[in-house]
Amino acid sequence: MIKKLADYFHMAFTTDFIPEDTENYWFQTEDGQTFGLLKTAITEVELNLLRTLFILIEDTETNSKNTIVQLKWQQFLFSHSNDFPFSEDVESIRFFYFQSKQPIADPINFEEAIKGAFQQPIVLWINNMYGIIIEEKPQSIFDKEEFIQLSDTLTSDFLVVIYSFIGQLHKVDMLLKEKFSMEKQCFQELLPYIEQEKTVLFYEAFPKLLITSTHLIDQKLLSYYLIESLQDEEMLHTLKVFLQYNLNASLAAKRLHIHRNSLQYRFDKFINKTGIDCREFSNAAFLALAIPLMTKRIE
Amino acid sequence: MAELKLEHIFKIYDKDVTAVKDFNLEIKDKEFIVFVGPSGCGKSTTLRMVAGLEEISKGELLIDGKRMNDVAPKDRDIAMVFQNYALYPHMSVYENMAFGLKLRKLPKDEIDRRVKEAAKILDLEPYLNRKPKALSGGQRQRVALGRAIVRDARVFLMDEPLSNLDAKLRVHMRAEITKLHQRLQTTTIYVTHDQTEAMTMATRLVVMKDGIIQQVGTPKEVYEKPKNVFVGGFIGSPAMNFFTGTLLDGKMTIGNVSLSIPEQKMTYLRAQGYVNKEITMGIRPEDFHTDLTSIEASQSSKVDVTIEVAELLGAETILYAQIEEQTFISRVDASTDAKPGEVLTLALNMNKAHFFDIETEDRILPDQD
Repeated sequence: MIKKLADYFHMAFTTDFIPEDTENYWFQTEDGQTFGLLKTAITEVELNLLRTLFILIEDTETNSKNTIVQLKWQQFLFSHSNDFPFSEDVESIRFFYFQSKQPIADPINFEEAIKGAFQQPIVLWINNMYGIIIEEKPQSIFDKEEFIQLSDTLTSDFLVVIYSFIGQLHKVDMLLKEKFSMEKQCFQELLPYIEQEKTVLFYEAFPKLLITSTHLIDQKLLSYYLIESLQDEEMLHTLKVFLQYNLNASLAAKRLHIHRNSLQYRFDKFINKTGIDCREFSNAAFLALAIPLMTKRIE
Repeated sequence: MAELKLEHIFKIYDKDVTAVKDFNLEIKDKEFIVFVGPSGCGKSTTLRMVAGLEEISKGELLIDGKRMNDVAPKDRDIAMVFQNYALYPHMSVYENMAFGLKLRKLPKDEIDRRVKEAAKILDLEPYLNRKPKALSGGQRQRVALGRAIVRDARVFLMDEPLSNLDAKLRVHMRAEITKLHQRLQTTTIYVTHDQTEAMTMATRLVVMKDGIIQQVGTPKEVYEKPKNVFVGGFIGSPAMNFFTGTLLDGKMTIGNVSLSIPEQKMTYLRAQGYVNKEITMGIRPEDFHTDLTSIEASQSSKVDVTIEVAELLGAETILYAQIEEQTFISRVDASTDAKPGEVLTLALNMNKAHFFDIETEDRILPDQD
């Protein structure tokens, strides 16, 4: 459809999104593609028609008063821009993908409500039922219980059920865009499962992805931090032994000829870096599947 | 204030999983209705359908006569309280309570009035400036209730609001919610799996199993005249005892034990054609007696049993024993000096016995019995 629109509006059509631009009407498709149409080139009827098919960014801005940071993120993630939207001191990031079945009526207050649960959250609205929360400088370990409580709180105020998918801990670099795009795709494909569970972590959902969406299973999907950690041979061997010994730290330490505290130290290092606590069953199950996926390349 | 009508409500997932089947209920204004049942029985799903958080697959929901199926949750004028304390960690108690009203664009002075009034009702006035972290579990749950109260909604929906609290606090909050309902008189639907909570708080109970209503009635009705074996066993703690035996004319025989059935009950059982048939008898733990007067008065309905376990609870003693290899629990006076291994005579109050069809598990005796 975008191609047809480009053909129809020809010169008045653009995809190079400029947040501060006032000459174009900027629209967003459901899968996050942004395009602009010269205001002078379209009629009111055409505008209204396009509004029903796409999200007019102007509308969301009026509703949620998009900040410059939000717009920069939007541009970075959804258009061709390679300008980093984050400040230099931000090293890692986590994406939270959320959706509801009914419109979230008041985006400004929604953003206000979630503030306390995240470190510097930035909310990007794909539409009034679907959004992404970007948490800059997140804590390594994500507290799912707290998030479920927040979801219930939001439900009691906004009277909508929030379905969430919590992404991996990502390094801030040029690969982030690709990682985001793949994670977002996972969210879309896992939606029926997420609707049952309400809140699902990437690691919990990984086995499901292996069954339902094999085309998404790629090393590229894994966070850089995880890839880097698994490329460390000592860490990889430690994790393999720990899994082999059924998550029994004492036996694994014995097998590795190290003190239990040394093993604990390695785990802490791994958790801090990747956000994956291998002592938790769901995380360990994820690692048991991710390690062969990773080592396939190394071998 | 509101009246609710749930007419032939179904919740069907993926065409073949039916979570709620043909749910019919009329809820009167100011009632405190409790949906009770084991996990997965469909009670929360029904509540969420009333809230509009789950779509109704079939049937009609009416609030004050108006069809609500297609009305957005925010326009149903309901307030919800969840199991979680459901508070925003970065907001003070005042802000937490005011937030829902801010969303509804109420004027500031009206918000202030409502929050302060709710804080007064819930004894939260000294804590209005505190953050949730600085509150105890009970105080947090009171704030969660306050967030619902300020909304001044037509219907309160509470989904296991006390299950995250410790036992002592739960008992306290149970009374608090009952008092609150007496004061506000708001029509309330309360979901719990705890039958004690259900019995003590409800105006009427709705006992559910596998998505189907088993019985609707006042706590007394449900306790004294359970519609089937499930309700009899679910409501009451310790649970009702069930014995399988044969009904002879005038007697219930369980192996070699024979117990006389009062004539009024027998007449009905006879008329229903149960004589010489297998039948399930239910008897509550408190309907066993150990005092001499009861034993002398129940010559044809007493039984000698060997005590397996005796638990002294202070005011009463719980005894575990068997009648013809069928284990039962009795709750007797604490003065009963029974030790494991000892033989004790127990008198059964057969006037309080319940009889159920062995196939359908439905109550045989009429409701007025």
